Amino acid sequence: MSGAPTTPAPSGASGSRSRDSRRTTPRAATASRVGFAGPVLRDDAWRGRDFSGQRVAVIGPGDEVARIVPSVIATAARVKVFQEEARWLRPPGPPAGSLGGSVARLVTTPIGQVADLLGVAGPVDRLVGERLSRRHLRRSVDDAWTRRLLTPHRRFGARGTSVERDYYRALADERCVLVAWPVYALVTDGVRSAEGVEHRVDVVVVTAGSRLRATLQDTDRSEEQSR
Amino acid sequence: MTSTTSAATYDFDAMLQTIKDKQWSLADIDWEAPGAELMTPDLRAKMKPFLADLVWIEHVGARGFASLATKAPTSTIAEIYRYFHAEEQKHANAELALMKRWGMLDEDGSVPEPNINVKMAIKTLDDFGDSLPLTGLATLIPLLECALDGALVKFLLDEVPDPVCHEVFRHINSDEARHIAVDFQVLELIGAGPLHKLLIESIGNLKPQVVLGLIVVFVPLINKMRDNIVAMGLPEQKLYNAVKRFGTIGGRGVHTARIPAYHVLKAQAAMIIDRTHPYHRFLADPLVKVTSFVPARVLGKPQSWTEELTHEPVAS
Ligand SMILES: [Fe+2]
Ligand SMILES: [Fe+2]
Repeated sequence: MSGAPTTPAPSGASGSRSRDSRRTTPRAATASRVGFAGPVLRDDAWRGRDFSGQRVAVIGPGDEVARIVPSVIATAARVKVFQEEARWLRPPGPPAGSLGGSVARLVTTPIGQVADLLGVAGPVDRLVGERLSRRHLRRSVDDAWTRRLLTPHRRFGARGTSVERDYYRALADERCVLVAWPVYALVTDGVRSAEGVEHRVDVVVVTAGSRLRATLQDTDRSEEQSR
Repeated sequence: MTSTTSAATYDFDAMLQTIKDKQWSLADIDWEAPGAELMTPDLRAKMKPFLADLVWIEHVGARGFASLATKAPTSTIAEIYRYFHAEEQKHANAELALMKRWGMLDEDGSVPEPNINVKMAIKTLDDFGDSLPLTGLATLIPLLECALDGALVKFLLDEVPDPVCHEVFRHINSDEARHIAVDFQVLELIGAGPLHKLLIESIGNLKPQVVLGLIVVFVPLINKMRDNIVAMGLPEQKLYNAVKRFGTIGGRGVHTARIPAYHVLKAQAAMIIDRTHPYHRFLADPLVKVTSFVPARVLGKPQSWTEELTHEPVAS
């Protein structure tokens, strides 16, 4: 079987473990599925790096890949963005410290003040924030399906929101592809996702909040033990 | 899957883990392995339209899971639906790869053109898919999966001697068993909710024009496929058994029977399989005829998810 995971499969990781312990370490079983031949960059390792001539996969939740992709596309030959979950991205605007209050007051001054008086500024902020984020997305991304992939299922404000800077422009670059299929394995030559395709790449960037992190850490640990 | 585990005790987290562990890739399959020569020209000609339909059913089913993911009751179930969305896409991709193997695609390997009823279904999903209520969609999908799994796929495997096809469908069937298990557990979860919510979800949220639209789109779609497949030689008994399974598994649940959509769809399925039922003469057949006159261009361009199918195991 070509392109199979190269790390020896610790089948005991999933097989012998009881159901209960599995629940506490939900991603341990996929530890056997990391066997990428090229560099796997974590944390800030992508910063200032020259990706010339390279095909790069960036894997992580929407807000984190949004921060990384614009720098990567600046030098890379091709970028595949594996978005694990869409996150709200605010439009780049006045550098108001927090969204709390400020945006609502700027945009809908009377409503913001009334809301403050009534003590419902939080919900109003979220409503306005979601509106602004949607509008920004609609104006920046032409394709309706891509917009849908970039729109979170959760309401605005359920998690902290980041600001979109050059990410949508990077996605519009013909060298960049947005992939929303779940990644289930890193194999010798690339990334395998659940729609059945192996995406060949030279470098993999895994963001701090990526679901793959637990898997990678487990692999590190088992490699250390085998040393 | 014989137990009647209630939704409260069903372990969706364990199921999600199983789904991750069971992932497979088109790259796992040797598409050049011997066996394609077992496909006679007659069989190829007969199977080509069948597979083209199958690819589109999987693909439209994938889109259905994408809609379900937006309204899943828990984040674990949302993640399960995200995987199911991808797996249906994988099934469509793998069936496309089989078509390629059997020389059923043209030189550039392009995806077969869907018929007008499939095009209308795509348009409906693009326009309303994400606004359909959870209960309706969550009930419709297991019905279609029972029919697909129990009738269409079994028919295909009875007809096709190519071992690679059987290898592919071992994977697909194993995925589908998990789809059906989860589909019905979610129905249990929904059915256990408050009754007023069930009633409101079933009818209250739907605009009349959407209901009408769904009937005009899905009634002829399903009937056309039903008749096509029976004409190809699928015994009607198989269709009957497959739909009966929907009632059998649903009947095992404790709460599923509280969902109005479940009863509506079960009754409709019974009418669809019974070709002598007036449903065909008065509703389905006329709609098949009428929709055959709909020019595809009035539907506009479908959204770009319809361009993501591929028979290539590797992309760079
Ligand atoms: Fe399927
Ligand atoms: Fe399925």
